[in-house]
Amino acid sequence: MEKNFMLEQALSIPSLIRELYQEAERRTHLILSTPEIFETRQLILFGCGDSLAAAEGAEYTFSRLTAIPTRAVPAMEASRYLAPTLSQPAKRILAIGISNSGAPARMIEAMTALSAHGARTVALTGKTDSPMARAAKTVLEVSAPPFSGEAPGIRGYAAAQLTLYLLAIRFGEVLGTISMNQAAALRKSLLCCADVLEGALKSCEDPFRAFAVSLSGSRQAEFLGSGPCRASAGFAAAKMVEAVGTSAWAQDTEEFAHLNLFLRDPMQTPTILFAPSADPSFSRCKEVFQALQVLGRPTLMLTDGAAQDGALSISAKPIDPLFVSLVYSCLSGFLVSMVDGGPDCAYFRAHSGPWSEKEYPDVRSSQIQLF
Amino acid sequence: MEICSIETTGNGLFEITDSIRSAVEKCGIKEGIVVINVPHSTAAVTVISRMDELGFLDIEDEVNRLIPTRTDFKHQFDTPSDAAGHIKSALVGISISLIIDGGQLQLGSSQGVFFFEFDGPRKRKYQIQVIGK
Repeated sequence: MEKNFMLEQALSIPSLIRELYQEAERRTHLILSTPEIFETRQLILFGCGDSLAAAEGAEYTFSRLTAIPTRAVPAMEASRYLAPTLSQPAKRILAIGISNSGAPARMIEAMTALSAHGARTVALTGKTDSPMARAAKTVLEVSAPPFSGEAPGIRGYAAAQLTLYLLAIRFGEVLGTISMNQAAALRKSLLCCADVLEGALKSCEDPFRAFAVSLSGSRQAEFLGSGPCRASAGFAAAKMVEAVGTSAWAQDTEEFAHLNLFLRDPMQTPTILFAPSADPSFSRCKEVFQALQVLGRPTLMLTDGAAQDGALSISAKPIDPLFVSLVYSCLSGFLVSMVDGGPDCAYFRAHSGPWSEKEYPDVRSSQIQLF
Repeated sequence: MEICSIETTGNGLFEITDSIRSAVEKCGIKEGIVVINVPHSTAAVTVISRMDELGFLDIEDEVNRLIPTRTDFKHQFDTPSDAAGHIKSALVGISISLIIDGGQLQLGSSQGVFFFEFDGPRKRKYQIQVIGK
């Protein structure tokens, strides 16, 4: 039997979090000076793919802990729409670009553009000598140790998400929006996400395998979440596309009720609803879950805390809403790793044929343009 | 030695006189000294007048005037209030000793012993050691 590298990655996340935590925390203490933190009036988090999911997953955490207006945007938006329209003085804008490789053209472009327009820029990357890192004013090294086998990534995402959370806590304690005791409690709670995830990887295995059968037999799938779990929904949909090539998309839970509720073939549209129990969206999630059941969609509603109304609880204790995206995203990777795409299915379509990306500019060779 | 816990609700002065009187009376020592020690680097212990609570604010204000919380402290690994707290703690002091006579803590009628928090709210401790015969 072939090794399931994606599954192995998902199972490695709890130990990865524990392994990276201490050094990541130390680095977040040193990356910016106190005056630089106090000068910041706006935060921009930007990325592509999984890194964008990490940015979106941290947006709420930064907003809550720092009281600094924070936006998470795709690299294209950061580069070609945001950078040229930065409000002055731009040095009060802190732009954090997230990319494990630091090589995608749009990330290099966005970092260059934001630096050129005067923003204080930080590259959060595993490659400190990458073109994106060189375009940034400061580099925050974040790297997940290599893992055997090529598969849709989870570890790089988890490392970035963890570091962004730690940076948000750091900002909060320096600015005084949270006390040092609160910061210490939050750090402890963040580290406990490893335990939560470890427990969930065991308790969810059987129900996930059962639901993966629905996903395996369908040509489409929808992932729903709000706030930080909108990022998890995006991450999960991306993993479906990367792993098995199924048409999968993410939608905000409320927007679903406006739009995708009306999709045809509900019984052929497995739906995963992220519903953290302490999240502000929870009451709406329960309502949407009712709608999904009436529609007859194969549905998996994931929650934490006490299980209720047919939802699958991933953890007996509620997860801090500031950190839910890390837990739910990694778990969604675990779920997707069990989806069977059929005998000819290869991750990323084996980068062959039209997917070889040799006959057109890909994410790295795309032309860089500055506006 | 007795170790007491205190949960400060923010920065400021928190009276601990009663716990020290109690420790002195409990140990049965008639003549000697009691040492109060704060094992923290952003807190202190001091004796001040306990007659007017607004006087506490005057002391806090003056300490803050002397050592304002700035963003350009060289110690940046922790927070600005932590950096300022280290200096305040060093100046005010983390230990005092008081006289015991006739089994009683010798304090003036208006004096009280106060835990001085510079980086609260925090869970803190202070130690009481009675020495004598």
